[in-house]
Amino acid sequence: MNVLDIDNLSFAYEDLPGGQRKEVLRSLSFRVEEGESVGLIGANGVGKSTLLKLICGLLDIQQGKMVVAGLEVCRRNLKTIRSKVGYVFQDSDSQLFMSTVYEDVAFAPRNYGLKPEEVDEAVMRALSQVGMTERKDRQVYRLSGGEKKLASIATVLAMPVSLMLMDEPTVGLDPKNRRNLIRVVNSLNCAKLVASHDLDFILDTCQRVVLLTYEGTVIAGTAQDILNDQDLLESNGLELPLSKNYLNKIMPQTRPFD
Amino acid sequence: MNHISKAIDQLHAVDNEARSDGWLQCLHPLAKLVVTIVYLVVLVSFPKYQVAGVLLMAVYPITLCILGDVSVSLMWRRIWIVLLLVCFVGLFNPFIDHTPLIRIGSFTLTGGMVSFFTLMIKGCLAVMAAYLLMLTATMETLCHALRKIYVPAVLVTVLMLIYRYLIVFLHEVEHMTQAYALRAPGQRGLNIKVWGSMIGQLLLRSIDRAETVYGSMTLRGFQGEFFTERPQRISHIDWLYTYGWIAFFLILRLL
Amino acid sequence: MHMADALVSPVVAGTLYACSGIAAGYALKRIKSEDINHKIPVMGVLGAFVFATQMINFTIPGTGSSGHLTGGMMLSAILGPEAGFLTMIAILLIQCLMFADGGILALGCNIWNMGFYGCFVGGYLVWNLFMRNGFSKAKIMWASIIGCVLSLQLGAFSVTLETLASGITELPFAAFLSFMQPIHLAIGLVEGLITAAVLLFVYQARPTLLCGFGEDKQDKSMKVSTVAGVIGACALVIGGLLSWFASSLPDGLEWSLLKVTGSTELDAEGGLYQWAGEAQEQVAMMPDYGFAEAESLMGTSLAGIIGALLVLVLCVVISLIINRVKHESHQ
Repeated sequence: MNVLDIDNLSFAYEDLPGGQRKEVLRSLSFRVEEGESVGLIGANGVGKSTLLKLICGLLDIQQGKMVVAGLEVCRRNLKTIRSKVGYVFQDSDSQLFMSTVYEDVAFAPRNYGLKPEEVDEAVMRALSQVGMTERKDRQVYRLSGGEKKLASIATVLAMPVSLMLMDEPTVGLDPKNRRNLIRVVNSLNCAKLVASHDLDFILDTCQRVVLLTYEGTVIAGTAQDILNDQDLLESNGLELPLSKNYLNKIMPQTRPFD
Repeated sequence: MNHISKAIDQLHAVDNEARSDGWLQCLHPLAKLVVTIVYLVVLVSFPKYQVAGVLLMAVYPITLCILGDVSVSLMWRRIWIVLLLVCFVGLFNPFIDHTPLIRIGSFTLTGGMVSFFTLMIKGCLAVMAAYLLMLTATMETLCHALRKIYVPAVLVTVLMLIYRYLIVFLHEVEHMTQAYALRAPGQRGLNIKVWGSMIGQLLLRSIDRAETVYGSMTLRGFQGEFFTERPQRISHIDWLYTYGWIAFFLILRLL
Repeated sequence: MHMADALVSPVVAGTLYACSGIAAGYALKRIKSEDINHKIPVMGVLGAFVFATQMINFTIPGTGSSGHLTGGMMLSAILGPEAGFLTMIAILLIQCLMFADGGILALGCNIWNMGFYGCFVGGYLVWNLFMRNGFSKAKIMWASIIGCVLSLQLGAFSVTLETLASGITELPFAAFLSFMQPIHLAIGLVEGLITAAVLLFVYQARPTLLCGFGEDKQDKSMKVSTVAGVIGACALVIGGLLSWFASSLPDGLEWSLLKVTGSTELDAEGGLYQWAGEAQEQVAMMPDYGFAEAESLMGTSLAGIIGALLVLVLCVVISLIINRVKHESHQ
């Protein structure tokens, strides 16, 4: 079963300064299956974040259709959809708005009316999934960048989500925290749609990739196919993942990834 | 701008103290809030010549500081600043009020001197009481107590958000002013040419962040109120603490 | 302008708490009809922003000194007066609790002096008056300056009244005023300039953020009832505080009685009058508008002061002993 079904989706920003209108997405169609991990890549400004916001209803659909976990994305279904979709924002400080880690992770379960024992169970389960149980009582402002990112993921895992949306999850992480994040993301059972410029991270965590072009359309394929296609990537403002680039340089004769 | 770093350090220090495991910290926040308010009301109700009564009111903060192992050093700087302000207000009392009150040998203490001294003591004790409250109760527990006394949910939620993002913005302002200072050597503050653009940019970024926070809250089912700390029951010790101190204050006042 | 607890009496503090509470209740009622869930995070984040920018030094050209921002007018211009007022309450509460900037008892006074005047007088009356026929750079600048100056002048005036009404200082009213008003005029001008600079930047970058921008003239018109309410509230508080300096001379009625009967009061004899008088004495919580003054046993005598000091020292010693025993038993 598909967790996400996007059909002919178009979106434009109206009412820009000077009365301008900017078309960002044009007749987009793609799917994400249950448990699948899909990377969403594209140059700056092509509409990756816009697409993620449309999926969880933070922006209204103008044209096209979107179905999330069997429910059409519209105002009447928003509350249910949002209980099944988790969004990990790029800026962890915008996601973590309570004082302590525990309070932040407990925010969603409490709002959805779970009893205190159920809230506690949900929080501890989410924190153990990301390896943050020992820091549950720590103040958010004391967390490192990596810890904040893991805590952000935990806030989303506190409710059973079918689809997790991640917006630039590796920004600001040092190599160790980045590797830890890869491990955590790969351990999650839910479907994931990961928007990122870190193509090596996409390579390590996603089976399929959806490339958003400058024209607002998509090119979809396996991670290996898309992230090996240097011409395709470069024509869309991207480059080969660093690992592939490096290997091509040290083994120029064979170029094993061509 | 060093004072921003100091403000951040002070916030950290107060927060650390409030989260420590002392017996004062373990008391119910409502008990501490009520006792503090009653203390302040009684303290300021002492007439201006009632030195003895005001001095005895010092028993509360001093006892708590000693028995509660509360760090007094955090208070001193604040006490000095408040005393300066209070001093300015009461400074003219000795020159205007010449009512003779107390004779010590040939020296006469006038009403003006006594009222000035009383005012300074009141100022000092009031600050200590407020600080004791903050050093022994975290913002989350205080907000829980405020809700118990029917302070509206909107206000308490806004209060918690301000507290959460205060340090984030203090860091941003610190970085911004440091970046400015590195490119404007010799200047003490922001030049008028950049007032609008610097603060305006920060304001616009704040509003964008607020929109993202709103999105994050909405996606996690926000209904208009933060459901705060796991509720703490009021114990016999909390009742004893509350009634004991209130009785003490009232006895002092009525003596 | 933050007042400390020592500068207010319980009566003045209670009165201003009541006034601020009424204003807060009105503000809450007004914003509940709007998209409150959206407003809350914006109020919280902007409150933190204002708090942080209050720490910035703005160099005043040609003076060598610096000014600071309070932010009431700016918050109102972005959030609207009601949401701005509630945000100011939260800011003042945190300043009071975390930094002891302003007392807990005096919070009602500070909310009124800085929040109410800044948001409702500056942010509502002045801002709406200037913007009712459309926005322009000049209007934004003048509204900011006039709004800030006016609200700070009113605030400083109220501080004077509240302090004097509390019986804290012997300084005559005129003398106190002559200290407060000029200083706050300068502060208000600087704050007005800073606010103007920021709002002008916002007007150029994102004008829709400004409160009232793009609305119909009809929507922007100031309701007579609200204007009357704001002016009436100011008059009530200021007039009420001024009345504490009421003349000791007999009022009109008493003067008439004095001329006719030779006394300012009529003798009331008889069962009903006596019963009513006794009942009033029992019930009156604040006879003659003050707390019942208990005669002090110790009074202001030197012996009393020494006794108090001795008791204090004893308490400190006992506490230190208890603490020492506690620490030793832990070890």
